[in-house]
Amino acid sequence: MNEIALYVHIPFCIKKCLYCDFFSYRFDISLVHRYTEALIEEIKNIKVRNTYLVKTVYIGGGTPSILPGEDMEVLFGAIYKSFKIINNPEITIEVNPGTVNERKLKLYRELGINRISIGVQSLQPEELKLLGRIHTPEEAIKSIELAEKVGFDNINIDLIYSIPNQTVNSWKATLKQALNMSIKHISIYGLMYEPGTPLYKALTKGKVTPLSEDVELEIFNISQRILAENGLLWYEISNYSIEGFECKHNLTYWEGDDYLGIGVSSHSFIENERYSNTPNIGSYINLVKNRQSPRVWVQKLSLLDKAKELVILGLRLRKGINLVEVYEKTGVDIKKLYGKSIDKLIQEELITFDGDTLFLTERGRLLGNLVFEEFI
Amino acid sequence: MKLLGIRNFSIIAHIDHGKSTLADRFLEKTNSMPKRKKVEEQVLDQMDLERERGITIKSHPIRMYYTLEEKGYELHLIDTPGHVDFSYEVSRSLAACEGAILVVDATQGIEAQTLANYNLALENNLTLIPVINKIDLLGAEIERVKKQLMDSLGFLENEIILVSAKEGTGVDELFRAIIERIPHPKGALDRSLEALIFDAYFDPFRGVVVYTRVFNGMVKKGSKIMMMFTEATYEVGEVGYFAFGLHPTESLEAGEVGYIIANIKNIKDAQVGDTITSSEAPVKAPLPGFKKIKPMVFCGLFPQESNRYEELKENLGKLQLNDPALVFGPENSEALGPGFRCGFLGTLHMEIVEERLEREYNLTLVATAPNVAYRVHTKDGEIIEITNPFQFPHYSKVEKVEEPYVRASIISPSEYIGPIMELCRSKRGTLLEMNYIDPMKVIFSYELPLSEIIFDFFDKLKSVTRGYASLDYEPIGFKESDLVKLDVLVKGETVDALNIIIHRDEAEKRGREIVKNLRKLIPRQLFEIPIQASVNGKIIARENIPPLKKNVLQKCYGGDVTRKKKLLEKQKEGKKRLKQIGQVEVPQEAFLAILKSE
Repeated sequence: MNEIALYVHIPFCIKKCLYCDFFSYRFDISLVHRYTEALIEEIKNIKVRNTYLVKTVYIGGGTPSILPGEDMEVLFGAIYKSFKIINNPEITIEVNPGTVNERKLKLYRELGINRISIGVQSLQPEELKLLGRIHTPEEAIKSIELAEKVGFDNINIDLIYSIPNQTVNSWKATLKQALNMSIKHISIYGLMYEPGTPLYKALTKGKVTPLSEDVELEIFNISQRILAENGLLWYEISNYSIEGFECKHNLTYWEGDDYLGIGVSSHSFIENERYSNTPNIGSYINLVKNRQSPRVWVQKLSLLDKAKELVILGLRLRKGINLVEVYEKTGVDIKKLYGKSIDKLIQEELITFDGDTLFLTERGRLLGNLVFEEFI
Repeated sequence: MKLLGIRNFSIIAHIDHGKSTLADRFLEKTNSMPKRKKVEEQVLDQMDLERERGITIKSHPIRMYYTLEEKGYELHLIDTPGHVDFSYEVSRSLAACEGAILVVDATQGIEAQTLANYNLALENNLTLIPVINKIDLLGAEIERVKKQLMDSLGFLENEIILVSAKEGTGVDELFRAIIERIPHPKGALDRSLEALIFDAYFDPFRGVVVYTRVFNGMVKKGSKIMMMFTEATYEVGEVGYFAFGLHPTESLEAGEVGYIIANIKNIKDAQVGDTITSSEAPVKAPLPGFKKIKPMVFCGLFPQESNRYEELKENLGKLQLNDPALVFGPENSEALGPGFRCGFLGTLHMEIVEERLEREYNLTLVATAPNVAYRVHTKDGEIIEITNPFQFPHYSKVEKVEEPYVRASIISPSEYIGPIMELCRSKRGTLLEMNYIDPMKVIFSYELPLSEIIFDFFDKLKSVTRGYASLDYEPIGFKESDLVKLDVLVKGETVDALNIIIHRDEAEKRGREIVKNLRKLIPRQLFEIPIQASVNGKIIARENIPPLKKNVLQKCYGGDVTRKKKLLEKQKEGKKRLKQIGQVEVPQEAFLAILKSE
């Protein structure tokens, strides 16, 4: 039986962060209930649910933690009832500080959730304010401590660097405070100014000044060192963990394996076909209620496309991409097809190649796009 | 006698003064419109480009019939190009006429091309009918414009006809004036053929169609003719007149305007201004005024993808079939690969050719900044004419350099006298004359280097006068200037497509502007890229493009894959449009950066 990663999307937020360009809906309790019902309906209607063995579950968003406890309970009830699940699956939920309390976290434990990903972003009050986060540093620390207290030993936090006015010292302070707690995994992203966001508008109006590239790079380099000193090693471009605590669910994406997305605008990738659900919550609820598929888009990947995608995604990982495995999966000989590009990238010190496996160099990790686009 | 009933005339005007609208009204009044064609505005401007730009590029003769006091007349209207690039063509079209209607916009008054066209008409001894157009507009200043026409151009008040071409007002009066004031053509049927070529186009099925005005004699099917400049001889296959298409007739006689088809394969054998005569009994001397067309402005045109070189060559050839003023020869650029050095009448002509190549033939071009021709006197006494800055000899060998100058007429409201004089001074102009057309309007005559005109003079003039000034100019030959070659080095390598020739005093300022522009236009790459400008081997300006240090998609999870792949595809697509120069990838706009100033 093939293994699959299960993703459930919760598209609600209390307030949109100023830098976020993902689509989300404002929290509305009656809509949330109807949405939860629809999720359960979609799960019941999924055809492949008996032919796959679920190895990981990931509740992502939006802000999944604003889902009321009873909704979460019925959702997990449906998941456990409808899917075959391996022993000791990794089950993650994304939470935002300010939306959880001890009771809720305990419930998560009871539901079998064993990994928690907390959107901390920063532990400096003025930086959180600039990002438009709804919580304070204290609330963030509190939620980490609570998670620990109720028994989570696999805790991830997300942090953002390159925030305007950030300094190397303020970043160090955030990192050190975070590392004082028992964290097994950190995701670090540089702030992006995405068109359409309030932050982008502020940038074009000259109201914020982006952090200088030099400071940005210094922060990046310092992070490598500090995290390594604390036993957190990079295993993907933006992800660091204590060995053994890599996010199994996310590895599914980077290794090109199958995943099934549930919920509005979620994506699935099953047997080289990519699907996506409607991005409109109203049509999602209606379609599912009428027992119709909410999928609005399908794309079949050719073996060549699949091979190229395996390379682009696999290169993100520290373990690199093994071209022999790519050949075994797709019959495509990347080494032969892209020999010239590979030579050029080695020359430019963006990748290394041991004959079987391609790896990003340290420089390549910062300039990954120059590598990826060679295989597009 | 037939000649008594013929009138040959043109309409001349500054751009946008309503020339084409008036022509449309003539066609309507004489029922010359093709029956089934809907009356689109400005029917005579046929090419899409002409319509879009609101300008006339080719001449469009048309025969109309008009009855006045029960007498029928044959009117030949020759619609002429309306841009300084084509002033030679205009002068030849005017030479085909006995009269011209000088149209002036009632809201604008006399402008630079009004005056230039007026002078061309006088040189050709034409009878002029002054017309004030757009009298229906609110801002019309009829009295003021009348006074300008009287004071500056010497017309009498009772000669001036008030017209609204848009509404048709005054058009009948104008027809009467055409018939009564413009002399009928004179000429003798029994003399040898003497006909002027004033335009031509290539028809792939019939060969060259020659637009002609017969001055003496007659031509018909079977006539043996000779082009006096090229001495090429032909047997005429067809003659006729124009009225939305070709209408064959028995013959074309002295005084008439029409076309000749004679199995002419190459448009260069039917040069505008040349005289057609009988090859059996040729006239002794050609009609006056013939000039060999000489390109004034040059640029390199390169295909974006070098494998489309042959295609570009073929399509330039196709355009040339209809555009003898376009010249081109192969050019091999280190930076841009194989392409062509092309010569044009002016920058508008250049833009039209580029646009047609891209639009009609679907080519993507890299065009280098335009330049004029230079005459370099070397220390060993040679004189080299160069049309490509790349050919400029090493500075140690240069004795002196000459560049083409023009006499420019600038007409502007008098409040801008100061800024205009300052601008002309900064563009190395010499003031020849300044006169008032009326208390509010002034005309300058300046000598200016053509290179300054094609660089940014007109834009600057428009900007210092808020768009109120008009400009016209005519070449007056070469003059010595203190010119140097400015090289641009990208990562230590001279880029041949980025050379310019420039006045020594300007070199440092422009050098700085250019490297600054390039710094903005060239994307950061994996290594540092110094951009330098140098003159006579000395670096005069430098900027550095710092290396690219960070460019990576940080988040890439399940739902993102498709979106992120699209981003990468877009990034890659953008790179395809870059030209590789040494190690450095340079976008197309960079090659025009040397054109932009602060």
